Amino acid sequence: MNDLAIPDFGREIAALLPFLIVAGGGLLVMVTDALVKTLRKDHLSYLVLLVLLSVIVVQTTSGTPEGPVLNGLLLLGNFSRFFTYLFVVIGVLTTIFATGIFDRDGNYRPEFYPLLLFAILGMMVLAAANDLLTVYLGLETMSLATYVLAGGVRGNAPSSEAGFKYLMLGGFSSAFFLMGVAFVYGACGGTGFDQIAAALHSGSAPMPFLTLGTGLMLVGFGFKVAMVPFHMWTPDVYDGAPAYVTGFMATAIKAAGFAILLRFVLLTEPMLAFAWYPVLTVLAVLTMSLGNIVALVQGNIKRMLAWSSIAHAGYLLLGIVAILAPALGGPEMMARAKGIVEEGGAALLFYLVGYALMNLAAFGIINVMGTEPGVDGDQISRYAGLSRRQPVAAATLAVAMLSLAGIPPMVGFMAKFYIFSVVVKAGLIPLAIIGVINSLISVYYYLRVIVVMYMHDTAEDSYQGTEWVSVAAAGLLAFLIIYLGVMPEAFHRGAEIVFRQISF
Amino acid sequence: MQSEILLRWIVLVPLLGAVVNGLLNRRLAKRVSGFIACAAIGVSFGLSVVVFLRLTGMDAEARVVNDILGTWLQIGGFHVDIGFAMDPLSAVMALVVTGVGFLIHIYSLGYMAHDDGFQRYFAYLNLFVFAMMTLVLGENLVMLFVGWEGVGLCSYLLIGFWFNDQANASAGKKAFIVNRIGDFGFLIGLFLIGANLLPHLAPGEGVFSFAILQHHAHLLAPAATGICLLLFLGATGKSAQIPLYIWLPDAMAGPTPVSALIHAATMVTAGVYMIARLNFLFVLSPTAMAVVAAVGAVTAIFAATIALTQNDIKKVLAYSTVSQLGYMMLACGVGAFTVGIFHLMTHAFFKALLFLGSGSVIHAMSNEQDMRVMGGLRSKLPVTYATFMTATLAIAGVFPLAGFFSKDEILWKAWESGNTVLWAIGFLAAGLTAFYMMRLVVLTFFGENRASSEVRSHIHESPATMTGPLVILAVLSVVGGWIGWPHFMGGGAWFENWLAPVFAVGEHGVAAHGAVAHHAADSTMEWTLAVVSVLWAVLGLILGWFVYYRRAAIADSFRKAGGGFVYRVLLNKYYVDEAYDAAFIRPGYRFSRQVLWKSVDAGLIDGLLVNGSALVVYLLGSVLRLFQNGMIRFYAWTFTIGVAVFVLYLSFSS
Repeated sequence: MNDLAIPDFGREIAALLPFLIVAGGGLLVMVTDALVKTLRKDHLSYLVLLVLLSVIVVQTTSGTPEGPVLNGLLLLGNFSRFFTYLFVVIGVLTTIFATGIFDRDGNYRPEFYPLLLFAILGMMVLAAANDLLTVYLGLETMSLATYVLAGGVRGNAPSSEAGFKYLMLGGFSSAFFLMGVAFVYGACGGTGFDQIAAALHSGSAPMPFLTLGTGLMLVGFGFKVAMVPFHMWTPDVYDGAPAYVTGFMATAIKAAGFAILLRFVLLTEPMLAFAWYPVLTVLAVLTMSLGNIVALVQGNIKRMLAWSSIAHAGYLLLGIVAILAPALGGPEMMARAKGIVEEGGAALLFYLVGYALMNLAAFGIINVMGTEPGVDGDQISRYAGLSRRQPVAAATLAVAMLSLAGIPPMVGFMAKFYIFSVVVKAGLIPLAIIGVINSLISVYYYLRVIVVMYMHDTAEDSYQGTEWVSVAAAGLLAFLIIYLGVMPEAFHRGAEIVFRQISF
Repeated sequence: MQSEILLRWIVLVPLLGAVVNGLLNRRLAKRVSGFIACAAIGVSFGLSVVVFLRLTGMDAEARVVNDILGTWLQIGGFHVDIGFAMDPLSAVMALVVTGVGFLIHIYSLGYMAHDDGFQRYFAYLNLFVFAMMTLVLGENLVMLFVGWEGVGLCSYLLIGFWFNDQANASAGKKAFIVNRIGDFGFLIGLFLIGANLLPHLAPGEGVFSFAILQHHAHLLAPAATGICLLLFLGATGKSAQIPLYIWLPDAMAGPTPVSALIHAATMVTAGVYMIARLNFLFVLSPTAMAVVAAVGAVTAIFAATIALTQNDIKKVLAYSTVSQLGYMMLACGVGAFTVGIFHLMTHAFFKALLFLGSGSVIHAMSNEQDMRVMGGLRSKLPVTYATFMTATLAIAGVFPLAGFFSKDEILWKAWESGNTVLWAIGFLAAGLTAFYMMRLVVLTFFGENRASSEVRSHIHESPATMTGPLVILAVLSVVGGWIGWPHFMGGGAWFENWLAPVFAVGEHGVAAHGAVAHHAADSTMEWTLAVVSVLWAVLGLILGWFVYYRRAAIADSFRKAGGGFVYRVLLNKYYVDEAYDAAFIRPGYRFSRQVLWKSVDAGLIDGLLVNGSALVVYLLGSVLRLFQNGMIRFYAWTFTIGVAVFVLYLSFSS
């Protein structure tokens, strides 16, 4: 009877409380919107903020239980909590940005709010997943919500196109992913991460199925994080979706994708590093190089940031490659493996947070710069002279650009620094050099935005944003970008602690 | 070790002032802006006093308070904190910087009242105090370096404050570039310390923390000479010693209160502070100490001779500053760090006063700085004259003014170290100091006024915001030295006792090395030297008075009769600028222009590498973007091909 003991119900509920709040909050927002007819436009946003803040409060104060829940479908702990915080904070900022735009455009989308919460729920599940089925569940919850978010500006052709493309290709990649899951299931005899680990360890799993299955799953993850060659959707979707959604996708989805990728790599690394390592090395180099090179020729800031987001996925993949490297090295490398894996994981987590800060700051400004309803301020040339008209917005965007380019004392510099130093420690000096060269190339297109804002004179069609709440929120992010760039250590060490719990 | 949270505010309040003034700039009324700036420094000074008083309440050996804000960097075993610490040495520095700084802020209210860049000026000045306090209170060498670069930046900004004038902008650049040479040495010294020490440290020990450095100093002994000489190169840049002193006279292009604060009282003493701070390191290398002492002594006399002939009132004071900094270096070099810091403090009082006084004169003379058209200002600027005269007597070393105690002590320590040559050089320079200062006073305040009648009609005493600080500094120039009243005169030498814990290792180290033979330390000798040096100073003053006032023709006849060559050499500052120009700058410029710029930069780098690679990358980008054709079919195809390649590779590799 003992193995089938009924789980401690109270503990399960307590552990799942953050998930339940987000899910219930989403339903509540939906129902409220349908039933309460006297709502003012911004009321729903307050409700969403309340839901998100209560997640933070519950998670911070209640000491939610750790370990596997729901019969091992989810694994809760520092790692899942870390990502929940990240997603919730991104959600708060996205809500603020979106609400400001609804207010200005008169293009009110009440369905935005519940969808945002459901997307966050999916991401939380993804970061906590401990079973291939929950991975798929989280992945699809997140994706379905974002398909609609991206395409949901009614009557706006680029938005609809973006949503449709994302849906088609997303479905495409899901199919590959599911096929991968099937292979892995066949090879290991189970879908739980524990079962997979046990099968890998005992060596009972047939290798070809395993590599094929995990390879196909990697395609699914690669699609979400915009890894070459599964990146083609990114520029079109980032460009077509409204800026507040793009900001959300570029930061939260990438973080969720890397969270599960990291879990998965650590799970399969002991057996499969030999297969993954060369593939991911090549793809990391391709991803960052292609992203940076094509970003150079973009005149549209949203497309530019889309390619930049591909490039940053490449830098992040470098961190994954560094984590894989020790498993292949000689005995000398094995001795240092634990240290490298921990530092690599911490560097990735730090990077994801830093990247979220700077991208949100950038999209927060882009979001409010549009002059006609439904059109974002996406033409770089029309930022001319912004520093004179709106010094705070220009300075914020400039800080975000400098940080994306990896220039100290911004957080982007420290993030790259941590990643590259792990890559060097793993003995992959050529990769670090390629990374640095890429970084150099990227400076050109990021600085061009600053040049236009600060050195060009205002023209007739230059942008003039008016919504100040978003600018203030983005300005706060700019402050954090500098703060974390100057004082990264406490946070970096926190990331190390978070990571240590899942690494061994 | 106690924790003291006030420390951070001593540093941060001036930063706050700088941020407010810098951001709001013209939007602030001048009165508000000036008040904020002065209040920020006032608060910082008040807090320094509070912490200082707490220090006095502690046991002599335990007089350190720390305020660690957090870890700055932690990379492997390399650990640096952001933190501040105040021990007796930094307490002295903090009080001098904020105290004199506060007076100069007040003075600036009057001096800069009509300037358009009023708010910008005060933002820079507050920023400077922030950087200087970071330098002084930094808990480790890296913080010190941050402050070091910060004050360099502020110095650059303030020298070139009136940047519309090409000469001012060039002076700023010169200061910045010359300091880069020094900082280069400093940085390499820093790296060497890290490289030598890191392998020996336990995890979590901050390699550059002064406490840790002192504790592990013996590990650095093998590399000490190299490290100390490199650090000293940094000090010669910041503290304007040979060979890098050339920037300081040009730095006088900045507003006069800036010259007083940055280029006389505080920033230029940073090099001396750094050496005193690292005394435990410098004493490990007798060679380095000898170099410090020699460079200091030579600079002292070298600059004093140049000061003899300069006609610009601020240039005389600038060379005088270089010379006095040489004295401080000399003191450090013979292991008398306490005395070096003592002179640093008294010098801050009287040299700030001299500069502010000269500012008052320049203000009255409608921005004229040439002493040849001054004269007779004594009756028209009574307060300025009285205070200026006090400072002159102080710097000349007349008993019982501040300068006497510190300068006499330096000469005594040089004598005591057994190196009579160093003493003789210092002694000679002391006489020259008295002479050129008297020349300055006579030319400015005595005789007939030689200005045009237009200028003469505008001569007026400065407002109270300017004369007030003058009077306070004059009082300090008189009594400031009394806290170091030496034993042989029946004093308590409080200052020496106060700093004793900081320099216990260093001064003991010099004695232990036994590299120097001691003269018998008897008080008879001390008395004799003290009396001789006062007489010597008075002689210098009288001679100056005689030559330039009573018999003004003497100087001219000297110039005509054979002395002309010497005069020209001195007037042209030994042609050092010209020599540097011919030896480094022009060849460097030619090399840069012909080889580096035209061939390497324009041809190779710009043409081939930059434009070439940019073109290639740009073309590549333009081609690659064509794949982004918006066709979903095409995207799906790429996707599928990617998967196919991927799967094929995986199945072959397993």
